[in-house]
Amino acid sequence: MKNKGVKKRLITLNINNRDYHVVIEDRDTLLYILRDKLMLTGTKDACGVGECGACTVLVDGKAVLSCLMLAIDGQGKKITTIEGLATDGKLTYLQKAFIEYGAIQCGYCTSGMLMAATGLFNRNPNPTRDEIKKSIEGNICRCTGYNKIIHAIEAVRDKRVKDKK
Amino acid sequence: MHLPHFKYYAPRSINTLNTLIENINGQAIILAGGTELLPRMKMRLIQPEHLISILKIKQLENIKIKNDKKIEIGATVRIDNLANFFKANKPFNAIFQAANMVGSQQIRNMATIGGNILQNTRCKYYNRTLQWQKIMPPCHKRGGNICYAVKNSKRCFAVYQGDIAAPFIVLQGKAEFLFNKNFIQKPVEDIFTGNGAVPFNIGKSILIKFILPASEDGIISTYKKYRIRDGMDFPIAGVAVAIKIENKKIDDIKICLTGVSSAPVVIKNIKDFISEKKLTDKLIHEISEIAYNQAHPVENIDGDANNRRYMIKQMTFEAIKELIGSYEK
Repeated sequence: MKNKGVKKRLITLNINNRDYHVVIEDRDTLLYILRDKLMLTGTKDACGVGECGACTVLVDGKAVLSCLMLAIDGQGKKITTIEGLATDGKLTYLQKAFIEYGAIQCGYCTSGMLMAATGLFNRNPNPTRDEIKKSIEGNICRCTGYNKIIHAIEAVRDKRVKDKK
Repeated sequence: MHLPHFKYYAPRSINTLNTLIENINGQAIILAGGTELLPRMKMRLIQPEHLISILKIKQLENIKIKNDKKIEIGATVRIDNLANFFKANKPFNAIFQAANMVGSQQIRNMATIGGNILQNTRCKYYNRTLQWQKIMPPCHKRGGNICYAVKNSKRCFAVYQGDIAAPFIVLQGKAEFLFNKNFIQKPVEDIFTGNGAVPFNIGKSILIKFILPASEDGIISTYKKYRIRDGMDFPIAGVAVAIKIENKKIDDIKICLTGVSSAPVVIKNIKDFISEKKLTDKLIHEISEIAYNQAHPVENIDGDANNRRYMIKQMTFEAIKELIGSYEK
């Protein structure tokens, strides 16, 4: 199909408890809308085919890949991105733990990792080490070697994260 | 990566879906989870004019246990929900194991059972970028007449790498399709053609649901998956086994392989091994040998073909041994 005369639609997306009205084409992925239209660039664009997990966001509390979800399918759903985790500048326990345990190096996978881990805690507040590993199996990190990330998530599970600023 | 342009539809009932399909001109494709279709569209392997999302049809997203104890699984049940439903369910353990090993948690949250069963065949010479497609003459699967995997081959060897089809086949699942306002049921193994280029013989019918028979006492099943990484990857060889035990004897055994051919391979000629005999290690070895002889992987996906074939033998042995062990306990 040629580019000419492509139909555009106005849709409403609820992202981080705020309604955004955006004009989209049918083919636009949620990732494209987040990063290029709404400038919510915390969600990262890497492989584009669902292999790396960098674009993970929560849809109705479940971790999904925004590169493989059409923006139009996000209507009527509650979408949470990395920008929506901290409230009033206060980081979540997972975010604090990632800093405390050095689970961040270059940081490119971090937003995806945090969203995947948040999705895990939504589903299962007391995951075993194997369940933690399984929940981040779709998130690729080339720096940390994963151990520090797993330690950080375990620290949150065991409520070992200090509540400092 | 942008998707190619298409027109999007999201009918809310099966009736509107039917009317839509009757009135649509040009190539229309059904979209459910999108985890397999959208990467292929991004690589421009497929560029449909119309995309029909069936996620808004509420009828398709439930698992129901009918009065006769048959289990009906709607086409858009998410893989994660399917895995949770069959968790700690001995007869259908193979389905739980297979569903639990599909892709990553994100993929399991998005992908649907219908999409998993009807996923396209894969090949390292087909699932390639647009640049590669521009340089290389098209293979059978892209409408040409060359095969890069098997020299001088007249057919396509692309591999069916779905996880859940094999457990559905050994547990005698059926699929229900909608075609011209009629509902047609077919055993799951009959929806495959065995031809890598055109893997399914379902024409323009639309998958509605799967039906699993009522779980009888004495049926136990398991699924083994071989892949390079212990997460994320498609199976490069997989074995589903179901056995039926009656009066402390093995009454029936079914084995189905995945990831070694263009369709799941149902292993034939194994019934003779179990009649009137106790399954000794030697007999299990012989059954595994038959599975090995009926698997014919070629070098067109990750992993060495000989190794994948060897793993079929190994996994079949382990699966049967595990099942016998679990019922003798």
